[in-house]
Amino acid sequence: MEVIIPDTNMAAIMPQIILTIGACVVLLLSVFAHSTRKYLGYLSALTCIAALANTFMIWDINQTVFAGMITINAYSNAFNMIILISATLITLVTHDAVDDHKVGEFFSIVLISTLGMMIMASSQNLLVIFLGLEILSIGLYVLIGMNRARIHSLEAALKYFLLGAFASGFFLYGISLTYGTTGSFDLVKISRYLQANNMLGDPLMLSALAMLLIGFGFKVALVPFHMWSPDVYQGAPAPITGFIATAPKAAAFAAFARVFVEAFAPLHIDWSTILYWICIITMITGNLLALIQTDIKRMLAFSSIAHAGYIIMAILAGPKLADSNPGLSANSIVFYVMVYSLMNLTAFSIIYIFESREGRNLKVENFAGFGAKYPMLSVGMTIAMLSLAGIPLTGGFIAKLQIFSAAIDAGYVGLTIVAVITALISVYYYLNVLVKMYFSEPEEPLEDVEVSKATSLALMLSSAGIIVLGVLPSLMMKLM
Amino acid sequence: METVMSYFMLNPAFYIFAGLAVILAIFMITMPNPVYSAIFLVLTFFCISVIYITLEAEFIAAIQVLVYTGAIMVLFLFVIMLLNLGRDADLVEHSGPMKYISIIVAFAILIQIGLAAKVTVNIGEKGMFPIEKIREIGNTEAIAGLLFSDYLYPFEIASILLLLGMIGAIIISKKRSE
Amino acid sequence: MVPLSHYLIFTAILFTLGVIGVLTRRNAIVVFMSIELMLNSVNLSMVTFARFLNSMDGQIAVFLVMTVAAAEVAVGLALIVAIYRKKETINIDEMHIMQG
Repeated sequence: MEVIIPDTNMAAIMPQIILTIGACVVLLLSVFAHSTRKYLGYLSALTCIAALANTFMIWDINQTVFAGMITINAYSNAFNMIILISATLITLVTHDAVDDHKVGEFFSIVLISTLGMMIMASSQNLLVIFLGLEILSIGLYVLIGMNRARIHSLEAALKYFLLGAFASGFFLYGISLTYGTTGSFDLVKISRYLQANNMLGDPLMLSALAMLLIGFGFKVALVPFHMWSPDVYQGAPAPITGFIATAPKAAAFAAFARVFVEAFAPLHIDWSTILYWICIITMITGNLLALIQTDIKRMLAFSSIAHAGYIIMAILAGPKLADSNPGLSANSIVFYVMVYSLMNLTAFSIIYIFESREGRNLKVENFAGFGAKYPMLSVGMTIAMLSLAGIPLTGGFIAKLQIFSAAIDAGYVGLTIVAVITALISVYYYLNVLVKMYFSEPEEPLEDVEVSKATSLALMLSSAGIIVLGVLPSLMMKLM
Repeated sequence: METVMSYFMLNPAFYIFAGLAVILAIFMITMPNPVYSAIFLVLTFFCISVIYITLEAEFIAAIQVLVYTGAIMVLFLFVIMLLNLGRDADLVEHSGPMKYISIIVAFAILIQIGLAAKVTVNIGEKGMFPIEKIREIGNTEAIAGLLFSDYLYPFEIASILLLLGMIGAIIISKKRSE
Repeated sequence: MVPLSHYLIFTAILFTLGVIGVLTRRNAIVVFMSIELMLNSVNLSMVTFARFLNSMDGQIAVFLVMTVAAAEVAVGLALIVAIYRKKETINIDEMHIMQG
């Protein structure tokens, strides 16, 4: 049997190669050059920036390489960009947050799970999507559980691990059944097969769709597969929470949209009904439960569940818009995920700064008096909260607007009405944080808090990004 | 009865070992002591390995024994022994009404897939490896050929995954040296 | 040749047993073993499909899934050991960071 090496275009996977090399270098430096340990955070940030620059260089090449395993086009690169920006900001914020003897492992795992996310976002093959998913998940289990002194972190890690592995089992069964009914793992071939053969209502295909929905639903935390997320957000150290809340979701949504909007578009009737109801329950449950939370990280966890519901609207609309306005759904998902990542990163980084000073989890009421005491940080928090609430002039507003208009174009008027109502409810709990910050007196005098230069740079960049995307959304649209 | 027998005669090994695997798996999830559970799981994996052979997937059958029973389950047994989990206090498990709900949910899944498998006539596009061809070139060689050509990329990715697993296991479980 | 549906029903039964194990057991290690049982049943279904589809992809998939399972087991068991050292229990009902 002869072995034919497939088309191996290394340039197309250069960002991934850079991350892999960066991860190995960081790991080796921490072992053999102890004096460099202080700078490993910066080195990781530089690695991410290099990969980001490389992503821009190959932005439009539109190639499928490695026998259909990886596709590099503007869509996958847009998600890669979001993932790399999140990773850069997180490495900047956490550069001094880790104990000295674990710093090498910490940053190399951050880089490797970023790599897993990029694989997931740019893959064309269900098997490779699964591998990317596992790389990012295992990386996150370790990052959450790494701080063994905190029993909460370990418990959160175990909980995330068991539920994550459970969901992976379902996801894998879905992949297997898809393979059985279509004969391939390759999304392009699957799509071709589904267009050529009418598989609507095929029982095995239905099971496959249900299993894949459970797998993806777990990863992006849709109700009723969301149980892990508040506990994990609360138990994990805050900067890691910021990471979990943003980049992996970007990767999961990229794969979710690619699988369902592109490959399974002919089966839209089959999966849209169930996803429609999941979407409604997710928006309502997420926002209502966020209302009653006192812990700020739990509140943001439920808020991000609700945001996942909004993004699902664009996925639902995708196949219906394929003829009239093909780019609209994908563009609105990319834009929403971008803004969502920036605002959550800002919020969680600021929470992390306060938490590391207090040494405990923060409640919403603990924010009393912060506005006067820490004006700069409060401005960042204000921008993040306003954007999460979807107030005009912030990125969050434009993002919601695009999603809603895509949904209305696709004929989902009822869904959009539910979304608008829940978005209005959400304004209450976001503004509640701001009210506490600016209009309440602290119970005890507040101490000073020190913010390193790298962290404040990261915060400034991300909050500026939210505003820029809100005022000049065309900047982002041009990329697509 | 006739049809049952005729099915059975098609490939007795499949029906015997499939039945055995199901019984062993039931023991595995019901044993209170995790050591017994692990042993029953090892036996289940052996049965599955035999079923791989009935499907003429010899390579997979071999690595099933090597990796699952030889490495993964040994690791499980090591941890169970290390933590000394056989004590009575550890064996008590309380699970309330959730138990029955979850069993119902699980059976719903089973019925769904079972019915799907029963009525399904569609099976996807045929590939390029009919069983005669695999017999001719050999199962292991066919896998190797694909692994280093079409599946080169996932193969490389898998190595990164193993590196990650290694770093992760060490950093979480090592005792603090300082 | 044994019909495809018999293989599929067998894998579905194993998968369901795994799911029941995960949902009813409280011992983290047994839960984890049940997850391994689920993965095994999926592997079996992949090989079955590969045989009936005249394709080799399913077997490659099993190879990769085993790699994933190995990495996952290493990290998962390390977590379980770390928790046991701290709490002297691995009963998942005793993990309550969770209020509200």
